[in-house]
Amino acid sequence: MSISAAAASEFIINGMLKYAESLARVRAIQAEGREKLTPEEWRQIVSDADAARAVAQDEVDRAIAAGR
Amino acid sequence: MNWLANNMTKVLGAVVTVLGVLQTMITGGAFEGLMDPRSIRWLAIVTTLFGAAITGVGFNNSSREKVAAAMETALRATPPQQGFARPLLLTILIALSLPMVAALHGCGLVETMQPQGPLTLDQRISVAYDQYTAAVTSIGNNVREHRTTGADGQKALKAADDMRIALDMARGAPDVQTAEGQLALAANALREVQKYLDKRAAP
Repeated sequence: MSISAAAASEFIINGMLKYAESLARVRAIQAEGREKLTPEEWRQIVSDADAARAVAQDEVDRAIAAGR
Repeated sequence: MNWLANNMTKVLGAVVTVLGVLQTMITGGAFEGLMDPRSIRWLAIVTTLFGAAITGVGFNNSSREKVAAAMETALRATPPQQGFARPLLLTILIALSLPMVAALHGCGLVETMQPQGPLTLDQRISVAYDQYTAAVTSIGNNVREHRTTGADGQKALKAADDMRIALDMARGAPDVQTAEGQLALAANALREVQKYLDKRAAP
């Protein structure tokens, strides 16, 4: 597998895993008869997103500092 | 009982065939409307397990004497085959059947994961946030594994940031139309990230 194919498949697999997680949460919300997410659920989603963004930035900064 | 003992393999073969037809009907949706989805899934599981068990029993349903007699007859009728045609064929059949079984059950699993009914706007925005999280996680992983350079990773993150801005605006939108528009922008930005990782991966 080429490097670009590996990068793309990593992107797709990560997306599918997260999508499965999303659907599980949506099913749970639907099972409770709710249409909207609670503030706590939103807080968790945004917190996960911010944490992932910070980790990615760290990796990028480290790579740039190492000249990669 | 004697007849049953002598013809057990044939009987088991017939049962396996019936179960196979049943599985095909389940996969083809013949039971939809007759049974609720949960019962259909259970029927699929039970027929699969029952079929596998009966197939196993069928393979073991030959006494040594019967096998010896059958082999003797076969050897007399045709000389022993040279080479590995039969093991090879068996290997191919098993190798093909495993992914097929996995794929069929994968379809069932995907179906069980599907939400019940259409997603509300709030739910769709939450799913899009998760896609953003998956995208930035992939960028970080690709840079760490040297599949993407730091500079390219930074550009991919910039595209992901555009997605995040659109998502934040969709979440705080005053009306549904604005939110839908921002969701469309977020989807476009996600495609940009994907293209970026695909095209700009380090050689």
